[in-house]
Amino acid sequence: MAPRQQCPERDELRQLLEGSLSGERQQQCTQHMDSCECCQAKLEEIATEGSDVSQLVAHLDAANPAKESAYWPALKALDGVYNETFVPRTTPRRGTPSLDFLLPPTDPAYLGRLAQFDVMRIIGRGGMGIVLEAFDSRLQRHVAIKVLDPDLADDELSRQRFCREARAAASITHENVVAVHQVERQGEDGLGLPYLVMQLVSGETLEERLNRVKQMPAREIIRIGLQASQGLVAAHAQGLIHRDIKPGNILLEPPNDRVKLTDFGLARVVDDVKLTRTGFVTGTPMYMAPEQALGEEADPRSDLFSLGAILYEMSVGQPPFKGNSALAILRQIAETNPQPIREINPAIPSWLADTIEQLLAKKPEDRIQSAALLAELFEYEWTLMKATSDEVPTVCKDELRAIHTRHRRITMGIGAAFLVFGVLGGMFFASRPKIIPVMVTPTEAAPVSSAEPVAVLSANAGTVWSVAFNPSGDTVAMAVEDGSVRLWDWATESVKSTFPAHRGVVWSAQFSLSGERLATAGDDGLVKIWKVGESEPVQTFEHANAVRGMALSHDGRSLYSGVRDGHVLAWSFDNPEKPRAEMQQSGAVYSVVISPNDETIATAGTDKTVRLWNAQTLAQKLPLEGHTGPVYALAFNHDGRRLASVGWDRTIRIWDTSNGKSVRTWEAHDGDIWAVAFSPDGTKIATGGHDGIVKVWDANSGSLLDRYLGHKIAIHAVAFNQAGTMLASGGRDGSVRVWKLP
Amino acid sequence: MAVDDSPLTRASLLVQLREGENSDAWHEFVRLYGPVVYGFARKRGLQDADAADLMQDVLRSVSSAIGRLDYDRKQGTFRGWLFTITRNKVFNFLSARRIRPQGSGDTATNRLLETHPESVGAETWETEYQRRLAALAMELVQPEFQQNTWRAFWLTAVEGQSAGDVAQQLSLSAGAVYVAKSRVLARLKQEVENLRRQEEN
Repeated sequence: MAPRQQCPERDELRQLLEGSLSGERQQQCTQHMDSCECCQAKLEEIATEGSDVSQLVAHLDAANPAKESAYWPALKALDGVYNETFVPRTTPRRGTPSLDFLLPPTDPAYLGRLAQFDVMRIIGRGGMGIVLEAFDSRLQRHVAIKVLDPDLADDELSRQRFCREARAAASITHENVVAVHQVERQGEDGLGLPYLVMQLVSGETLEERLNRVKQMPAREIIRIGLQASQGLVAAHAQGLIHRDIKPGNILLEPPNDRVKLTDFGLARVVDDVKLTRTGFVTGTPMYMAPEQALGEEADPRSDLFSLGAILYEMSVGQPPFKGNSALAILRQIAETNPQPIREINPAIPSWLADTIEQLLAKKPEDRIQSAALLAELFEYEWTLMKATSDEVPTVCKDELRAIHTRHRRITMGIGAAFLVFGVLGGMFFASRPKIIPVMVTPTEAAPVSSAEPVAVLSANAGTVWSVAFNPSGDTVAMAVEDGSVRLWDWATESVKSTFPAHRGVVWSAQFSLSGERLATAGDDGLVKIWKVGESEPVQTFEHANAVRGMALSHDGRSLYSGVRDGHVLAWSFDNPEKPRAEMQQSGAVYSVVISPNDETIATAGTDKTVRLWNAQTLAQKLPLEGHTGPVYALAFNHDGRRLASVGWDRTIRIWDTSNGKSVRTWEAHDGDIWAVAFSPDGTKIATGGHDGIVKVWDANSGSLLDRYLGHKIAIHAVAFNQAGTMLASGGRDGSVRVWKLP
Repeated sequence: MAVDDSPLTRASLLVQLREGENSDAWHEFVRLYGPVVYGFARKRGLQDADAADLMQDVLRSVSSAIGRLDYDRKQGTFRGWLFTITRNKVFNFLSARRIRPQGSGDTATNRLLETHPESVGAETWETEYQRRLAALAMELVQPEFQQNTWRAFWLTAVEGQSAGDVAQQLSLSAGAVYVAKSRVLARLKQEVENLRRQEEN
């Protein structure tokens, strides 16, 4: 062992750490370190200068999860979240939005044209789209059009979301919700930019109003609260949560400032599990519910919290949660209670303050439980207030209360749960024992339907383009926009199987005569033959473009396909490599059908002409002319002597197939007709229109037998079962409805 | 190392995330906070698989909310928010798992839960976070050192072996091991402070 040296100075130790000692001295000092415990400790102390670094690094090797830990796969799974979550939320866009997607204007006073709409100005620009004011030249009215941001148009995810949003918003019909007239896609093929045509509401937003008027009178708060909650009732009844209720989304329509909720831009179908789980965005922090602030899933009660936050702001002149940053607000929402309303504004009646504060409960289960309950409560108070203020004798007031009490007894079964809860909660019901809110069944705003569907098969995966019953009639096949085909046991409304059939839209799905096989045609240019119950196709037929129409021969030998590029192909099942015959017509083919005797096929598409062909050779037999626009669907009757065609021109035409003469023509829908079917006995014709109505006609006289309401937007497919006792319809709302025929 | 060169500047990560421009930012973000959340959950008694699930759940929640965040320059606000989310989810998990025999015993879990959740775990969370920063600092400074120097530091300071044993393994003198360890510690201290400062800016 080297002789013990004198301990180095503190400065020298520091230099030793820095490596700035001379070589010889460094060696000496290092040697000294071998044995001098005092200097060893001192060196480390100088190195860390009393910080906790030594403690932090101690055993850090054990801090990493072990190799076999579930941590690593979980971490890997998170990488995918980025794509699901962040892609559509690109940098906030500012400046002049591009309007390249518009056609040149018909009049220089306009910005441009979109279908029949003359665009006048840009009203605003939101997260996913531009809002335009336009004039509908066909219906001669002003409308607001929300167009999916063209900058996002390449993004399939955004497009799907927009369409979903549009479908969702269009399904709400209520005077307190801005009406969505139609959902369209730009371009002839209907595959361009999606856009939403909405009611144009003049007037200002509640946000603008609150900028001018800080506190509002209780009467106004109650009225706005009542109407907003009624709008929410309508939305929630459709399974829609707004998720972004804020003053900027509440329009006040002149002359009476009627409340109109708008921008269901962030609303999602509640049971749309995929999007809800990845939860792309929810709301503006200031009015956001705690569960949203904490990244949990929103439910209808989240909308109630947001409404409560707005009512709070109207009452006291400031929002309940304030902060210098979004994060600060989020934490406040999650953790602090707002200052009591009556401390700030004693003019607010205590019941109203209690109600609002209950809406702002941190836990959803402590809030008023539904928009319907809230609406009921406001309605009661509103009536009471009017009775009090409008020189109504006290007797009347008492009567009102009595009515309400009667109502309460009847609905005690439902009310009891709330009563118990309210007492425990101690906030709301304790101070308002006179009211037991009543569960209200939201009233249908649509016209009264002549029949209710016996089944509603809701896939919520996009537009349904084709429906078919299997021969035994217990199963319904639905072809969906998202590329899937779903087989339903319609009687129990349960899905028997779902399988991804195509990349892109599935345009058609049909059962073979035996019911053992299913043929599907897709946007990917493929026709696939599946054995029902199996997940891999048994045969595949390739095409150069999307297959829009398809027919199977009754003898099970041939397949006919109609392609978007105008080709009509005849295939034999024993040779999927090469078509037996092919022809081309101008424009896209939308529909192909085959006569019951397998001798004739009929095709139709954008060229307005219905064509009959020899099924063996594809030699053209007859052109059937008369439609003034694209023809979307065809149907042969039971003996093949009649053919029905429908399309853009809103007419249904019945043709004699032996001579090509038109037998009867009538206007059948208010809007495009997308679907037609003959009943198996040939006596009835069913049609489905853009107006969302299914109509059943007497095939001989053309008289209307029945109307089936329920789909609120375009119907793309109708089908009878083989017995002719049931009818299925499907369309843009993503559902199939099964109707029992009289 | 210049502050701006660090791929792990948390402020910039958040900004990049919010603007949805950069999937690398998400990747880094997850690797920064994932271990903190996981470690915290383990410390609160969750099993490996549950802690991993919870970590995934928390970061998904963050991803859904982050689009509307403005990064708050006040120190630690983001960390605090993440803690709030994590703490809530752990609390929910423990609540769901809790078996409450009617009118009987007071299990450890029960006691844990009956404490107001806000007061629980802040210290554990902070420690986990600081240790994560130290781990990051180690990743950052390791390339600056010779392999033997690093090994001497690692085996003594991290693994806790005695300087004498390490000296033998590495064929160094014990003094050289002490010097190596202290040099790395000094550098690490700088880097940890650097990372903390970035957090505050």
